[in-house]
Amino acid sequence: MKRIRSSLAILAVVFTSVAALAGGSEISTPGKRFADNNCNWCHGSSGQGYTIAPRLAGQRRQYIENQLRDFFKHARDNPFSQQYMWGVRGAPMVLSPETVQDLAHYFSSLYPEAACDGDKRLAAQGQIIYQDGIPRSNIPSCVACHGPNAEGVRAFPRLGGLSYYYLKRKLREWGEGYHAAAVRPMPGVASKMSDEEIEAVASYLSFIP
Amino acid sequence: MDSLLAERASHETGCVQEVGQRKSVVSELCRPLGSETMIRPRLQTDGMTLDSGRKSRTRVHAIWQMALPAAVLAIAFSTLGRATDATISGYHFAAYGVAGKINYCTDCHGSSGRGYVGYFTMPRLAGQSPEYLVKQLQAFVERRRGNALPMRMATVHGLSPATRSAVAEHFSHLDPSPFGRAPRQLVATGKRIYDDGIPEANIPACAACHGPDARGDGAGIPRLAGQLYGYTLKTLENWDRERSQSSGDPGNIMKTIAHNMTRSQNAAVAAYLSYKR
Repeated sequence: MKRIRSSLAILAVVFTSVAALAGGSEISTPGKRFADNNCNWCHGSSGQGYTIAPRLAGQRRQYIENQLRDFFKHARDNPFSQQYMWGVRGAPMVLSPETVQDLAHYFSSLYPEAACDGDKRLAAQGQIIYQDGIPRSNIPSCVACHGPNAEGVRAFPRLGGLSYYYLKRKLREWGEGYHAAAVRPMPGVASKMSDEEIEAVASYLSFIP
Repeated sequence: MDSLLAERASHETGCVQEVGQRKSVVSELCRPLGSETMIRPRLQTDGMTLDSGRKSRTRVHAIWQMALPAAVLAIAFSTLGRATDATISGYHFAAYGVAGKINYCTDCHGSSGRGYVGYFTMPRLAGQSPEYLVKQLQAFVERRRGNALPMRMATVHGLSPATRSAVAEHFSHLDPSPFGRAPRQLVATGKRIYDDGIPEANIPACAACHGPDARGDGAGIPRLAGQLYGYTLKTLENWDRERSQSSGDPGNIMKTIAHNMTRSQNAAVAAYLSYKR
């Protein structure tokens, strides 16, 4: 009995410590604490995104910083941005520069899971559009700025693994005239794309790890 | 109007023609022009689905008057390669033709051909000799310049020779400020190398061919002034691998020069050029 109890005690200790270590971001940074209280409601408990809010995990650090500042400046004006990211209670309204950097560091350090929610049948066509563009429609290749694996660089966002629905919505919004934080070139590029082409590219990107 | 066309499509044996990836109902226009079905579409099918002769002719006449222009418009818009709704939405949308192609180039090369640093560095085209630009476009098409991933394929295959000349002409007249953003401390060394060369290393002065103002000379010697730091550096570093892939290219002289230059010398010259007006 004594041996069983001590074994159980040892097991309990091992399990809790393993659980604690395997939890991932157990190191509680200021960015994580802020995100847990303010961002994760919509962006998910590990920044993977949740319905209308995109994945922030694994996003480029500089891109996240730029977007937070641009929400503050109301440069991103699509309906979800206006409703959730602009308002008096919107997070960017109370962010200090340090918090912006902390959040960007935190989210960019998380591991991004690919959403894989696109249409598999369109992914091959989407890959062709991503790499070559569509010359007859004057659509440049995405790879030029976003990289061969859609991982982005510096302030150019990672597109790989983002949700199909989010990518599709963004590309269509730009075609409808909503503004991007960076004025060039995305609104112009997206406005030239047809719905089928948008769906193909968004499907392809959602599968990229 | 769309429901009208759809109704006609479902009621008669209309054609559904795939235009690219979009479908448009072209029941009227599938039939050969000049046949009487074009002018009086329903007379041959009288009594099929309609009530009386007179009513059917009037109704057919009204339908034909609306449906034919609608069908023509549907064809026109679908062949433009646009989305299924006929409105051309979005700003920065340029017309097709040369203006559209210029818009296409500037999406990557910057709004005034200034160059752009994405994942890849897209070089400055502004102020470049038009003959030189046309030559490079031809080299991309013929795969003699295989290095640029975004340019390696369909980009330039979308340009006809006439369009290439027109696009090159457009960019040659642009004059935005230099891109800059290079390490400033290298500029002085770069200027010295550019103006005087490095005799002890058998490196001639760049100015001897590219001009003291780095504006180049016609088809064979490109303008370097204002070229992006990362682009010039990469080109010099990778010359053997990426350029001079064919004999008879005037740029082949660069092979030896680039081979003899060290990385820090390349960086200095690139930095100097990135600020050069």
